[in-house]
Amino acid sequence: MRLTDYSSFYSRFVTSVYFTDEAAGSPALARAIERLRDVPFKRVKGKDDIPPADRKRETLFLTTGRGKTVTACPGSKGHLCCNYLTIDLYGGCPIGCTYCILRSYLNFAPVTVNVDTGAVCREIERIAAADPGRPLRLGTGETGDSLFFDPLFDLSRDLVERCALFPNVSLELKTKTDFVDHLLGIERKGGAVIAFSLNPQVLIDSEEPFANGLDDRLAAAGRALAAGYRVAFHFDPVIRVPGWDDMYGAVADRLAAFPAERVAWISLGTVRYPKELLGRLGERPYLFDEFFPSRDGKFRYLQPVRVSMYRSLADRIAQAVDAPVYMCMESPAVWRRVFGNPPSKIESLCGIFIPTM
Amino acid sequence: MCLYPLEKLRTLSRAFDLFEPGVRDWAPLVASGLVPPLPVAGDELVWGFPLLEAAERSGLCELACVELASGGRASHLEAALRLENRRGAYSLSEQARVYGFLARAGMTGDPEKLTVIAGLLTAQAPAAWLKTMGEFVSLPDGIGRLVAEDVLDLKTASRVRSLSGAFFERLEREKSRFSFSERREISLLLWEISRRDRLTRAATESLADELFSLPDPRPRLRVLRYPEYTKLAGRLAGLTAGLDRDGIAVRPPDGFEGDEFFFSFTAASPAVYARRLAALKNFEDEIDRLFELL
Repeated sequence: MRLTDYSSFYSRFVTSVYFTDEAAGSPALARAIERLRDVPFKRVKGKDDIPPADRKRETLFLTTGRGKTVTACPGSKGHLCCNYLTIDLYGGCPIGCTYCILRSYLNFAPVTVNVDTGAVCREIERIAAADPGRPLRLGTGETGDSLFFDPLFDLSRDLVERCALFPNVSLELKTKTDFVDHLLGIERKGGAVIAFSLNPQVLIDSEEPFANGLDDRLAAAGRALAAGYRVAFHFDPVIRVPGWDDMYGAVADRLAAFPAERVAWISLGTVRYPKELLGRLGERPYLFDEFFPSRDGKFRYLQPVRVSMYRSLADRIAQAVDAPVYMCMESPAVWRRVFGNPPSKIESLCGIFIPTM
Repeated sequence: MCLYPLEKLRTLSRAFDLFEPGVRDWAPLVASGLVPPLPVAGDELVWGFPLLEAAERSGLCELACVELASGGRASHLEAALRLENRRGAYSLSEQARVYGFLARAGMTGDPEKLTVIAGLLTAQAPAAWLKTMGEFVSLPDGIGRLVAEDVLDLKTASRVRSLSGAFFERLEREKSRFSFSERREISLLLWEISRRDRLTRAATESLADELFSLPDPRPRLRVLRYPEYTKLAGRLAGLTAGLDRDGIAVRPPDGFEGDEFFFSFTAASPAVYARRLAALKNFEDEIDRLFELL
């Protein structure tokens, strides 16, 4: 879907916008005011001034980042982390995926938007310049969808352009939308990667209520590729429903349409949740499968089940496209069983799993 | 302050009769004449129903009362809670009665009043308390009673509420057979099995009957709920049965998560030690199959 009428599209997801004094003069705010004509914008001193009635997902809170804006992915005890750096540009997400782990991490319902990309860019520059020979992977998709609100604010543009100055930086914009068109005309893309979270359409329909469909996402990946971006794909979470292997396999087959050298990486992760999230997930059929606590306390499928799932999907992906494949937050035991080695000993993953900070 | 005949007090509205009667024994205070004055607002007694009953039983004819200025029902409820003074010790049923009172008076949407009232009742934040009460009062009668009587916790009861009334009646009847955590586990596992397998109400009840006929239903429930884990544990037991007979225990990593098995044995003599080692040596033929379990 190519966004043309912003007001009409976002009116379903945004009923009010609050902004702080610091955010008041930002170009991102000006763009949002212009594009959300029917939504009230109110100035507040801080998030505590948002009235209780507006502390909901349909409220946007525009502010500037306080403290560190670029942080290392916290990883997970006993599991191997890819040492990703996360940028908190969008905190919160309206897509409403039933398995979303943000439900347990974020205690503040409005979607927080950090409009101060200048500070983020300066922090990226500092990290990138400190060790120019070391590959850096960073992205905005950890605490929210990178692109759902980006057509409104156009914040990713600054990041793409600034990161392009550093050959060792791969900036990843991860999404379940097809909102890439506002980024296609950027001249200097550098190592920017537009990444798409993938699931079979039947699971998108049942578990990702406001996400774009699979066809839309793959078509957007095609447009990003044609415009000069590298792309990435995330099969995460992989959910074991009846016939899962055929369904996911069919999605993997479609990656054959993308030239391997332009696919930066593909990640795999089976569905998992911390215990405290279970009560917030509601009654989804997939939650009645067998889950057991792993070393980080999160509940996952039994290890032999996961190993079998990863092997099957990784094989199918390998038949479609010869791109680096890794697992997100998996244990060394699972790495050895699926890939024969931990990531540090797999050559194709050297640029992905290098410690960054 | 003025004296009210007990006859008159008996005729006043009992809309504020919200608290359990047996929480305090008022008889000794009434006998010694140390009776706090009762708050009255118009035709409503605001607090002190158990005290009134104790006074009647002791043969008193009148009690000192304070007529409250008209401050509205919220301020009267606040006065009642301050006099009751049992923050954090109210039963769920008492809290539900207060919640019902607030709802009938249209006060659940008033954050200021709600903060005061909830603060006198509980340590929970007002929004969380409202949510708790909403869950509690929405439970069907039979399940609500189990929660009020501490047979099941509210969170579990809310989750498993779709189980049949017959199951909850059975659980209540047989509550003394199981500890609180056992009742919780039985309820949750049965509910999960019934949802996963889309069992009809009759099939769930039939399964519950079968389970309650066992001395401890939980092992059977776990097998039904976790068939893959059960199968894995069964394969491990089958593979290592010989070692077990030879006095060597084999333990998998917790939840079969990891890549190391733990072998252990004891030996009381060199001969036993040699036998154990020989058994381990013989097991080499099976070792690949063992590690394939992970």
